[in-house]
Amino acid sequence: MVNVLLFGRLAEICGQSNFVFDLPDTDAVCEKLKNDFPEMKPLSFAIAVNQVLIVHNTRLKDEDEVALMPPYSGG
Amino acid sequence: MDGYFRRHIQLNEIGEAGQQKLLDSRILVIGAGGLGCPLLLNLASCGVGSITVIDFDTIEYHNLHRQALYAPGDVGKPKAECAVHFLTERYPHSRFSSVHAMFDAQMAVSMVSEADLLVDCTDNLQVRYLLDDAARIYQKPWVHASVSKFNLQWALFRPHVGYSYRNVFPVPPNPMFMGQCNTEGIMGAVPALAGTLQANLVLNALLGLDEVDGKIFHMDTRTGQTLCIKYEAMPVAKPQNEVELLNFDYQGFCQNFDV
Repeated sequence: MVNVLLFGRLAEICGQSNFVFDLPDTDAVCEKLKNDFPEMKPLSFAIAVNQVLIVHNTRLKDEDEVALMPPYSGG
Repeated sequence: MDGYFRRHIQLNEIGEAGQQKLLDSRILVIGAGGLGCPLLLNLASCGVGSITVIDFDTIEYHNLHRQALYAPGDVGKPKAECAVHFLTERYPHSRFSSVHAMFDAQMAVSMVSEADLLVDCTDNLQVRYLLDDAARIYQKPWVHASVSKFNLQWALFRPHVGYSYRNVFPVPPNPMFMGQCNTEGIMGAVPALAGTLQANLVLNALLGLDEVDGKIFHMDTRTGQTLCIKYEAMPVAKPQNEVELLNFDYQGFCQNFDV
């Protein structure tokens, strides 16, 4: 199982700031969230696995932490 | 050096030489709002020697709950000028100048090369990508922070050695779905916290004390959860020089989102 953390607008759309999923990779995590919460589809966000930014689909193992961080623009 | 900075000088990591380094430093601060006010207070009081404040905006009454440099009597006046007036009266060790204008590529070309470090305190994505590019071309560090409701992000970037905002967010977000303080509201202390963390990064960078290359920080202030997200240095394709910077369509780039 992997722990998924959501921040900012992503957490608001999903109504919660973390999920536990049994999914094989980061693409599958994003796909599931966008299917379950279509409002997420137009949003861009950085993805980190165990607090390391990833740029390509990444395999996940048990107890990995996936953080989805959108850019903010308030100043 | 008089006793004003005694508590700084007592730190082995700063000392008289470090304080002198701060007094000799020149920075550009873009934005004098929710982030800029606390940042400027911290940097001016710590003796950063030359601070140029750039902001196109004027003060509105609803700014006052989080922009502590301004008083009700300042409403309608330019932020950059009011900020510099406030700071000049209180912080004799620094020199301040104000620019009441929107930061653009032309301004980047004329001002960035003279600065030691740049700070983005705006709520504007075009300015953020422009600053990231200008910092890379002129080989300057820059410090980022931004906020959304109860959350904040902050980071020191050195784009010329591969640590850039574009590495973390290569594609600008769809502006239709970006929260702004003026549309979604903001907890007053959140930009104060972000601007102060940003000021701390500026001081560390100017003193050569920072150890944050390749890291961007995120905090959810309601839970206290803080992330330190690491990323690899990566090259950025464009713009690569002054001419490309001047010709880059930041407005178009920031509208060119994936939907």
